[in-house]
Parts: sequence; C-alpha cells; structure tokens
Amino acid sequence: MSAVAAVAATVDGPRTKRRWKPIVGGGLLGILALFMLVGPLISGYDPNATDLTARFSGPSAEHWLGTDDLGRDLFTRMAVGGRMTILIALGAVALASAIAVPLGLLTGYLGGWVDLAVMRVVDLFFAIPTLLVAIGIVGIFGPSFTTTMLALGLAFWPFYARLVRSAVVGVRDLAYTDAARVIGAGRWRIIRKEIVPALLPLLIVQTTVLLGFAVLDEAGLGFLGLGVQPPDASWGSLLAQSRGFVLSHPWIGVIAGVPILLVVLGINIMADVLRDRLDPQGAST
Amino acid sequence: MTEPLLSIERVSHEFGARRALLPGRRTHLAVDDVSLTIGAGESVALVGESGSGKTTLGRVVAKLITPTAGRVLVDGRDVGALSGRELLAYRRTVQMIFQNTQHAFNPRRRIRDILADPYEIHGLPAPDGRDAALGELLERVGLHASMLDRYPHQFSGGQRQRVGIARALSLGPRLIVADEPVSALDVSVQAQVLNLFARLRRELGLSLLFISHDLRAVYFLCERIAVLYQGRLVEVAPRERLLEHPLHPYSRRLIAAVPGLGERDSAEVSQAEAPGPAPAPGVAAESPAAAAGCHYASRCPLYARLGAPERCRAERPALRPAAGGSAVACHFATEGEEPGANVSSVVSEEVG
Repeated sequence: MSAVAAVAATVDGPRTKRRWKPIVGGGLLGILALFMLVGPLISGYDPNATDLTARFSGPSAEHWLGTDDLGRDLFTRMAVGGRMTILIALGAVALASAIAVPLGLLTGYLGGWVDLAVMRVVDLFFAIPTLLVAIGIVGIFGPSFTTTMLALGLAFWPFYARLVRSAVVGVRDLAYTDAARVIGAGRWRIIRKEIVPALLPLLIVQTTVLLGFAVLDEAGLGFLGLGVQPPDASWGSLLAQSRGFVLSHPWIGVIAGVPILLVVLGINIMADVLRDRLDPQGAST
Repeated sequence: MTEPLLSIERVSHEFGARRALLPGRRTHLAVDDVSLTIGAGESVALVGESGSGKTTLGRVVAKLITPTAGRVLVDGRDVGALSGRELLAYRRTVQMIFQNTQHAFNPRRRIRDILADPYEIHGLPAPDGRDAALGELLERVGLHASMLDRYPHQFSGGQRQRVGIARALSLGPRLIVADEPVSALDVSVQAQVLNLFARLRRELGLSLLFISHDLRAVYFLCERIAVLYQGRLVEVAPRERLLEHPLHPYSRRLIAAVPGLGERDSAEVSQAEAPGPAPAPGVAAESPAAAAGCHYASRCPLYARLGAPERCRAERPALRPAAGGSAVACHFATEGEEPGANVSSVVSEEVG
C-alpha cells in the first residue's frame, strides 16, 4: 500500500504544480479558435475586399489590426487565414498519421525485411530537412491549399513512423504479448488488443506535437511563397506578404507572426498536459 | 512404454543464427542438442543456473520460438509446421505460465477481458454463459468471481500468478510449461502456488514442464528432474535419485549449493566437491559450441581429480543410462568406480 501511495504522490506532485498548464494552453487555443470562427463575422469585412483609400491604415477603430497594402482588413484576413492554416495542419497530420501508424505497427511488429526496407526509406527522408521535402513536393505539383497539405503530410510521416515502430518494438517483446500468442491470438488480434492500446497515449501526444510543427511549417512554406496563393490568405502567406513592408510598416509582420507563436505555444502546452495525464511515468516522449 | 505426450528430439536453438550470414555476427547457442520426453500426467523439472537455456527450451515447447534444429513431437506428431486450426489445437494442448506476473498481463485490460480471450479465440463453449465460466475458472485457482472486473495491478503477485494459471487452464491443456512460476513470489506465497499446482495436477491429470532453479520446489512437485548446463542436458533422473545420488559433477555441485537439501556443509564435502566461488562471467562464457569435448570440463572437479583425461577434451559425452533410471552425460561419472564415491555415500546416509 505504501508503495502505491508513494507512486500516487509522485504522480500528483508535479501535476498540482502544473495546474496552470491546462488553463493557459486551453485558454490560448480557445481564444484563437474563437477568433478564427467568429472573427470575420464581428469585423464585418470581406477578407479579400480591397480598399485603396485605406492602405496601411494601422490599428484603428475601423480596422482593429489595420490594413495591408491593398487596404484589406488584417483582422479578418488573419482569422480566415488561421482557418486555412489550421485546416492544412490538421490535414497534414491526418495524412502523416494515416501513413505512419499502420506502417510503424507493421514494421515494428513483423520486423524482418519489411522493417528493413521501410526503415531505409525513412532513413532517406531523415537525411533531408522536412521543409525541403515539402518544397520538393510543392515544386512538383504547384502551390495550392491541397498540395501544401499533401506536402507537409508526406514530409512528416517518416519521423512519425519511426517513433511508432520503436514503441511497438518495446511492447512487442513484453511478456503479455507472448501470453497472448500462447493463448492462440493471431497477429491482428495482438496488434488490436495488446499493442494499439499501449500506444494510444503516445499517438495522442505525438499527433498534438506534430500539429504544432505543421502550423510552423505551413508558415515556412507560405513565407517562401509556396503555400496558399493570393488572394487567399493563410498565416504563412500573410507573413510572407508582410516581408515587403517590414521597414515601413513593421506592425504587419508582428500581427501575422504573433498568432503563429501563440498557437504553437498553446499546442505544445496541451501536448505536455496530455503527456502528463496519459503517461504518468513520463516513460515515452 | 507408451508413447510420451511430449518428446523433444535433438532440439538446438541458436540466437542470432539467421543473421549470422554476415561474418562477424555473434551467435549464442542457448540450447544444444537436447532430447527429453514427458509422459502423460508426468511432471518433469528443468533445472539449471541462469543462462542455462531452460527458459529457451520452455519457449520452444510453447511454440513461442522455432528451434534452429531438432523437432518437438506431441502425441508423436511433429509440431514444427503447424498453422491455422492445427496450431490452435496445439495451443489447447500445451499452455504456458510466465515468470514475471507483472508483465504477463496487459495492464490496460480487465481480468474479465483477459480471461475471455481464450473463449473468443477458440470459440470455447460456455453453457451457463461466459461470466459463469470465467467465475468458475477463477474459483478453481482459489480466487473469487467478484475479482473479474479488477485490473492486473490490483492483484498481488501470487494472485496474478493464479490468474495466469486460470488463463492457461481455460483451454483445458494436457501439458503446462511453467517458466519459473514461483520464483518472483514471496516465499510464503510460493508454497500456496506450488500447492495449487500439485492439486491441479492431481485433479486434472496435467503434465508439467516445470522450469526452475529452486530445487526444493522441484522436489515437491516433479517426478523427474533434468539438469541443464550451458544449453546441454547433463543429467536426467527420477527426483529422489537425482537429489540423493547425483551422478554428474555439475548436478552434485548444484545440489550441494542448496542449503537444507543435503545437510552436508563444508565439513562433509571435500574441497573439490564444494560449490566453489562462481567463476567470472568471462570464464563461463567459454563458448560451449566451440568446445569439442565436455563443456563442463574446465570447471569440473572430477576432471581435475582424474588428472585431466584427454577424453573429456576430445569427445562430447552423450547422455547414457546409469543406475536407478538416471541418464548422465559424463564419461567418467559412475557411482561405483569414480573416486568421489565416498561423498555420495555420505550424502545418501544423511538424506535417506
């Protein structure tokens, strides 16, 4: 009993200390979500409507976050662009997971030449920076909302697949998978009943972490002009646009950059919180 | 003699063998040409020090690993190539119980789900409903049906081992491979679990391959004892025979090392026979595969006393029948002739 109490104490200790985390992380994400969802409705502007009389207006009562070089309302564009960025990130992470999770399970559980072959492909991807892979894919298909999503998904899966694989290898050799085999459970049953449940915390946390990376890399691609194309906005493309006026109107860059920072911060804090909740021992990343 | 339930025929298992195609890869011969039979209803113990290959042999029998050489027969049928339905039938014949009760159960599943697995996989009949069947299973191993909704960590080690036994029993096996089932438990609990094994054997006529390094548990539960040393079988003998008249020098040493079994402490045992200081791992690791002769020769007191006979280094001793139903793999160990005979007579007086 005392051992149980001791474990409970070590689990509870840090958790009470970190109670600000879910509030701050959840609060950040909540406010940003609200901003993206209802922002355009309150501001009343069309994100793509130009107004050359109000160029570079700067934050004011009319335009809360000012306007850009064509007089478009930045508050509205940031909200609409945020939706785009988040959709791209979600899609990219979904795609990466759809490839990486089954592949990691398969290679980790089966081992042998399948493992060898897939992991060499993964090694190949590891040798190239993620963003470069994404740039290559955008280069082939041309920049658009869909290709950005595809490119990021395809750039992320190797990292994720290797992670899943190594986690599977760790669970595969535990006595309880042997016990399942002795009982007569087949491969798929063992993967479904013994391995996947053990991986679930890791998968949830990793998906969250990856979401943060996806937002950042979308911004990176957008900044390079390879993301969503004008007149549509995403946070990345807004940041890229702001570069032209960084000397004359630096606040545009700040407005485009800060939400990215906040979203990634919020996501990372929430990933931390999830990790603490789901994996009290902190055994896996 | 009727056909044995299980026969292990010249089984070897070399870890890393498949990858050994590349030069420089190290392999480890865990089990080296072992043959052993278990009759229906018989209980055989596999003893030996850590790393002697006993667990590997147990896992071969449970078909968790495929041996690199040799075969395993159940009811005279080679079980090496079984798959699908036949493999499931084999699982219903041979079950295994694991040493580490903490890892033998998925911590995220309730006992109810864990015990329901065999019913789902094998489509076992449960005439009064599955709940009743699972409850009955738990009661049979001395637990209560009310514990079905607990998670594995809510049990003590001994209780978990009982659940492990229940899981194995659910399939109605004829042979259970028990890999050190009690060595991770408290001594007081060990006795209870051993009693449970004994009772189940009596009631169900189970055969048992009991893997252990605890000679007292083995003596309590098993009729025949097989001694493994670095992957090779050095002696197989009926239980009293082995404990009272061990023939192989290694068996003698093993038995002398148990306090209480032969009350012949340092004074009675000649210096050479006493369990000497454990050799450094590097010494013990002298590759048994490479040794053409007896793999125990370098540590063998008999070899030393006989003046290092050439034969021990040149010829690998085969398991040969000896007095009293024993079989021993040693060129020289014979009760009457060998110089150490006086020691074994001392032992028999004291134990018998």
